[in-house]
Amino acid sequence: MFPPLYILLIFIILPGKGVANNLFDDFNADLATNGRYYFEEKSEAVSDQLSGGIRVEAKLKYALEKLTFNGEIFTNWDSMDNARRYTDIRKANVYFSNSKITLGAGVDTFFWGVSESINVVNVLNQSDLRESLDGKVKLGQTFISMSHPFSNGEFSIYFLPEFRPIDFPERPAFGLPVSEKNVYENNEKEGGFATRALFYFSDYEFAVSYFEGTRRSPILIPQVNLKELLPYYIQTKNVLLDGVYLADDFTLKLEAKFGKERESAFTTSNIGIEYPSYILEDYIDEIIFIAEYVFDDRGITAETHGQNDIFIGAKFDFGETNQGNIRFLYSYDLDNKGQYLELNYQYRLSDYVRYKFKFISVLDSSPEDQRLHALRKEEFVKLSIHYAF
Amino acid sequence: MKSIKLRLMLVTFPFVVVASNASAEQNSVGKGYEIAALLDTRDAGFEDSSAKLSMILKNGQGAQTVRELQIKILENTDQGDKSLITFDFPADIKGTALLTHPSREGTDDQWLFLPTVDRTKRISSRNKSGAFMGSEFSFEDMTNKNLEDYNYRFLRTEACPNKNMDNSKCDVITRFPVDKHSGYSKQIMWIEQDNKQIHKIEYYDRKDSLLKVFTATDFKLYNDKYWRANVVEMRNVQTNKATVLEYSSIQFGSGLTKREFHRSSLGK
Repeated sequence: MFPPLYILLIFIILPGKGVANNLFDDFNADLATNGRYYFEEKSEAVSDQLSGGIRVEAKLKYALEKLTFNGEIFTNWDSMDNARRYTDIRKANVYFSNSKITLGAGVDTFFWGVSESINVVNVLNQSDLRESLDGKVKLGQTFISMSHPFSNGEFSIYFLPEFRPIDFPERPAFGLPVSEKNVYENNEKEGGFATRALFYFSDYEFAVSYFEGTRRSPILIPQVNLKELLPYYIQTKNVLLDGVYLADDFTLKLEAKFGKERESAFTTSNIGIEYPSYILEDYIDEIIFIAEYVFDDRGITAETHGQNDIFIGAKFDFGETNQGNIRFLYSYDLDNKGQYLELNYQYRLSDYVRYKFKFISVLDSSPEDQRLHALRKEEFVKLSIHYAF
Repeated sequence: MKSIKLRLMLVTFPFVVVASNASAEQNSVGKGYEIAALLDTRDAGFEDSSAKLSMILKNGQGAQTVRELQIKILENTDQGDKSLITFDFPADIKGTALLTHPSREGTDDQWLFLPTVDRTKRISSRNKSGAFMGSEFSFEDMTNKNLEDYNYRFLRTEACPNKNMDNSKCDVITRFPVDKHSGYSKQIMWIEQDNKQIHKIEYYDRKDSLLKVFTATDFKLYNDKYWRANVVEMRNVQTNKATVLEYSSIQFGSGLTKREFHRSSLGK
């Protein structure tokens, strides 16, 4: 089916750029077309091994004395996957700032954390699994916030009035189709509230946070009769700690979450090291090597596949003007021997055009490692060509 | 008698030479520091400044890539001037920002905001010798320097480079970075005596080979007090790649606030 809405959007955005630039301080857009190919057919779910799509992302900003308005809209159309035909408002917010306080309201995407592989403390926004399976791309979250900056940090409180469940794509599938119906612990569906105190001094930077509300990542309960997975959202209370220490030759990183879910205490953490290397400096300015260890004692209710896993990876820019970028990540499960591989490649062809390539593969998994095992035979490659202006 | 005098001279000569060299060395260090201190205070009282920049990246074959950015600087006599550099073009890196809080006692605090992932990343000392957004400027080159960041030595006085016509004299000094993670072993600077304009800096790598040459041209006087070069170039003599920064819309005292240079303002 022809995607008229998306073509219409492109025709509005392209000539509208000049008008938008006059109206707003900043306006930019990214138009992309993409293709996705799954190496294996998935008979239990859908059989779309090859699909194509269009993606539009537009951002704007307008400042008026102490007020700042931000907007960001994301929309995607996919030829095969109905769940990937959607629009999301990532940002639609206003911030008022003076020297003592910042007040904010609307929709925003927040990032908490320091790690490369899994951000266990990035808890405020729901993940957009239709755009990125690793959960790093987030949906917009409604909020009201108040922050007080001080000389070496900031204290913030957030009220999050709305909870958004995950919208699962048809593929990558999690073994069985995911039900469109969601179930909530005690019928509670709460965006929640959070506080965060960030400090930095000398070579240290760390934050202590608290979050209480409905956990963003559900437990997927197999429904044997219906042959589907039922998302079950539970309540969670978290104390979160994240920070970095800049040593002479490397950076130490920590993300930790302590909390209570379903009357049980739990701990999850990501401890890592980042080491910049200049061994190939004649060709590449800098290669950053990453090693992280993710621990989670929640067993099958863990939020990710990292429960006793080691992640190693590297990332670097290349090319005469650093027009290329590669990021590679591999994980190994110390309990169940599961292995996961992810490769991201980006290259800028001109000031306006670039392409991206992504490949994910579950190299090995056992049924005990439910989250990773569900993704076996779901390896895919994705190629997208972007025009940004 | 003659022989005793000769012997005495022979015995004392090395001490006199050593003492004289030590004294010359001390004078050279003192004069180098004095010139650097005058350079450090030349812009006192400017409060804040801002400018738009075109960053032109040139490869060894002469092909060019242009990036547009803005720079804002807030005077901070306590620890050193804070700076905020934000990219405007190309669109895929628009909003990428580098915030620097210099420190007189320790290492500078530096953060990089990446809008594609809404993430603010702390830059470590070791990263600071890395290229800034693919240019010939390193993160280290993009920070405002404090007097305490270097040790100094006066070398000589000579005609300023590129200004041979008007008899301008430049003091040439060497500065040695205190930070062991600096990408340089030393920098040789040409500073005009009258107005303290920096005309040229030679950057030497850790192996003490000439790595890059910075040149500044098209100086203009702003607010009758502050000299600024409108065009600067950093040329890597080992690769023949170069980055040119062309400044426009330079403004002083436009009322920038501490809040705009706070870490939490990145991305807002």
